[in-house]
Amino acid sequence: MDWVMETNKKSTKYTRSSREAATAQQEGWVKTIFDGMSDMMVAIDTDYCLVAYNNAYQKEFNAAFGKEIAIGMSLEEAMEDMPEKLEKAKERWSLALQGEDFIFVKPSEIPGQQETYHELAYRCIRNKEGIIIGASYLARDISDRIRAEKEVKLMQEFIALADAIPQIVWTSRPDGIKDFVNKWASSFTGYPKEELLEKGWQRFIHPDDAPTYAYQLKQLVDSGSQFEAEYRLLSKDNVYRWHIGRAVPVTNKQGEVVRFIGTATDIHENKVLLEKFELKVRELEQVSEAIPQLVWKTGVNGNANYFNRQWYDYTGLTAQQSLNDGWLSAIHPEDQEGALSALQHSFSSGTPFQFEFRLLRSDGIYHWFISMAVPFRNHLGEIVQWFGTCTDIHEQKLQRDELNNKNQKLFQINSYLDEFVHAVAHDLRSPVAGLKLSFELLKQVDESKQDKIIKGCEAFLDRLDNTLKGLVQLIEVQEDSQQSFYEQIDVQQVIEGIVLDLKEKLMSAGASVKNGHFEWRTIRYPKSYIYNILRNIIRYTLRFRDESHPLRLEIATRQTRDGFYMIEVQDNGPGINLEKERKYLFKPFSHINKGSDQQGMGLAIVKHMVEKNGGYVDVSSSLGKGTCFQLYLKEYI
Amino acid sequence: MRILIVEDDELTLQLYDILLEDQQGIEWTKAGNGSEAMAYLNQCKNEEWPDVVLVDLDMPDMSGFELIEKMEEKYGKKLLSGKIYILTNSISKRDEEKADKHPLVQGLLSKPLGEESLQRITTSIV
Repeated sequence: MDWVMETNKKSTKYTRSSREAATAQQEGWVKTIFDGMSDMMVAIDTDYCLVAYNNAYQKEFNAAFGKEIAIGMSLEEAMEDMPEKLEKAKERWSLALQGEDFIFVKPSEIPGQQETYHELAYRCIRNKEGIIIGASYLARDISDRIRAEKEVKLMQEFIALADAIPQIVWTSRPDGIKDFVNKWASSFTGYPKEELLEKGWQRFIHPDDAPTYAYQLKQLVDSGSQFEAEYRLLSKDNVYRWHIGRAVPVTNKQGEVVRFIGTATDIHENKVLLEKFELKVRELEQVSEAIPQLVWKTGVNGNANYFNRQWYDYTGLTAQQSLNDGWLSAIHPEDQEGALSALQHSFSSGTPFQFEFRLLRSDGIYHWFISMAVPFRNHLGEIVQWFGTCTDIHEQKLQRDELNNKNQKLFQINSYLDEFVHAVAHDLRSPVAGLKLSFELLKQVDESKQDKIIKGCEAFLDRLDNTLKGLVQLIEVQEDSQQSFYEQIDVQQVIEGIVLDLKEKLMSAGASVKNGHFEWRTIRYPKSYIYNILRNIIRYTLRFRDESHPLRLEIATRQTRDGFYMIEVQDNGPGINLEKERKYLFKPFSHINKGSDQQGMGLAIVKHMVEKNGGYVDVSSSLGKGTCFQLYLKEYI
Repeated sequence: MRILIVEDDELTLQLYDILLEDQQGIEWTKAGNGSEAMAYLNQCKNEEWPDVVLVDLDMPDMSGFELIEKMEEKYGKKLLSGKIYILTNSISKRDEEKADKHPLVQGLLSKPLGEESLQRITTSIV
């Protein structure tokens, strides 16, 4: 607008001539329009004083700076509180006053209205002669334009980001219609962006997943809340791949949804692996229920979370009783500690578990089981469960134990036999050798020596005889064992019987047998055994007694803590050098002393009988004082 | 010829006495066990050293082989080589092999020691 101000009066004045009236009317119109404009308008003269402004400007100035302006007021006066702003304003005005026409954009000065932008169009004012007499500007509200520009910029940044990431990104209008898809979406589906937007997304979703997807999307749009769903998308290779889709609403200041932003991320590999894993788990569960073993499962913390039917059938326990660590009570108390520590070891090291223990059956009987467990890993390779089985090995274990026992016994018997045969052979050949030499010499020597030799022969024959007697005794004991008959035996009576039997020998040795303290008097045992055992011991003490004083025997009985019936026979003989002789004492045909005093079979038979059903013998001795035989008998049940 | 007999059985030793009495030129000493034998050798003067040592294998305290080891330790090969004979009841192969391997053992004789064996010994010495 190019117009010239000729008046600085606010009010209109009617002039007398019609031309003047028309001009005045026009001026009035102009003024009304001027004041009615929403765009701000202001003008200054060359002295930087306000010469004209409209209502809009006045209002704005007031709102921004809280000051009332007036015509003729200088800029300094108007903006005396704002030196920097004044400076800037004067800069601009001076440019305009120099004849420059330019545009300046600035945000509103009104506090709280920074989003309001104005475009100030500065012009100079010339008079009729073309001389600059002032300057003005018209300020247009260009907030909308600015906002639009900002939005475009944001959008461009967003698109740049979205196109950079390897995931599907889309945005949509509040009604759900998509208005943007990123580069990845295009490269994944194999279709250009425009076509995707135009033709829609639905056709890429797997038909089975489409309903869920559609439903979720509708929820999103209706409620403005978030969205998450897993669905299969068709790739450009015509293969469906699992994706997880998410979307969030974007709201404006008023809380209204202005758009939705969504992503779809490829989770195919993981999902497939996860499905395989879940399938495996289900299969395993089926197998667990089918096999005859007891099956159990624990989590990584060791708490049992599953037992198959066979477990419940066998133990008779309920789920409540078995789960977590309840199952421990079904294990035999003596095996619990071992089982637990083996489990702990496996859990911490990840190595398979194996342990044998007794498991309590519902009827109160314990059976031997072998339990084995292996770790079970998920699709990421982490241990998530332990799968274990328990297999009944009761029969086998008993058999194995029995086999071991029998083997041991066999081994013992073999060693015993070896020594025995060796000893017998020696003790038979030795006198025979003597006899042979004796006869050879008898043939040669004269009569004077013959007596001596013949005496020697007698001695040799005695030895032979003893050895053979001992052998027979041993054989009898063996045979006896087949038909052993045991009854309640009174030990005291047995001793009395033996004393009677050996009366002569005892008398000639001046020996006496005394009864010490009897903790027990009767025992269930084969009569002949007890008899022979005690008799052989007594005979031994007789034979190897100290001849310088009469033999005293004291017999006592004691009950031991582990259930043995002990008989103690103490003598006052010369004692035995146990360090040297202990090994040989109870061996058959061992030589203790040199020469003819072989001990024969006596003690060997005692040992044999006592050990037959699980007892054992022991001996202590003190040289010069005496020997004490301790027979730990096990009762025959 | 001097013979040292190591034998634990009294009766047998008596018979040896009778056997050796009538033999010409044989002097013999009896030891009832390994320790006695060692004690005897310890106090032997050079001229008294035995030409033959008869060792009974089956003795309770110290077996024949143990005694031989002890003798070798103390007196060495020089004094004992070719002089030791082992007497035994058993004819176990193991003992035979052991005797064969032993450098000091001249031979293994089975009991009883009779005329024949004695002949063998005496001739081998001479």
